[in-house]
Amino acid sequence: MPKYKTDWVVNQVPNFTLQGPDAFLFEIDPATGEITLKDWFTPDFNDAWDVNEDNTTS
Amino acid sequence: MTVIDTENPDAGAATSDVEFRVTPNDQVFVSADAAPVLTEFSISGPDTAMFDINIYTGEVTLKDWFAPADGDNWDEDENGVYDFTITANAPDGSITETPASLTITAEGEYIFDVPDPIVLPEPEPEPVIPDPVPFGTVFSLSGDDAVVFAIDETTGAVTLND
Repeated sequence: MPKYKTDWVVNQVPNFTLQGPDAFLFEIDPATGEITLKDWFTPDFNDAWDVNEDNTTS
Repeated sequence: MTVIDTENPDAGAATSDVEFRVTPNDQVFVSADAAPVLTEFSISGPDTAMFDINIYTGEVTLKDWFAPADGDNWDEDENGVYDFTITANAPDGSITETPASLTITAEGEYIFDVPDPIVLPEPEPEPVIPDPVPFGTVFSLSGDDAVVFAIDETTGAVTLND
């Protein structure tokens, strides 16, 4: 499953959140910032789930 | 999407824009300002409202409601030649713009003058996972030469006796 991890410079306990019209498709670990897909979300190029249906979430 | 660290007092360093891009054969998270994963095509120009373009192959097609005919020209200058520009944005950052057109002849024939579309590789097929062995099945060997073999009672795997 694709994951994303931002390289942060963190000096205190972080609290990562995710915002945007397509954020409902993803989860983010508040401590590490790692983003993963919701377990019910199976990306399909021919069935775009993002709001503007261009296969790029924003 | 924007990742925000609500505990970071440096507002400039507390956010990061991220995109999740789904291509025909891949799915990746990238920074929002990252170059395209594959070459991406777009269409522009005065007559583009009647056309679609496949973002990853560059194939140009007519909108399903658009049925042009000679003498009923929908193009901006009403000469039966629908002009547009196809822009290819490559992963290496290069951008190529190619003039293209669709001409409707007096015979009603459609003549596309567009770049050849890219043929994308087929995605890898999903691995076939065999059905599990039904619960309670026990495998055994029989026959004159069975003595030289061993069989796993659970999976049915046959091996030589050591």
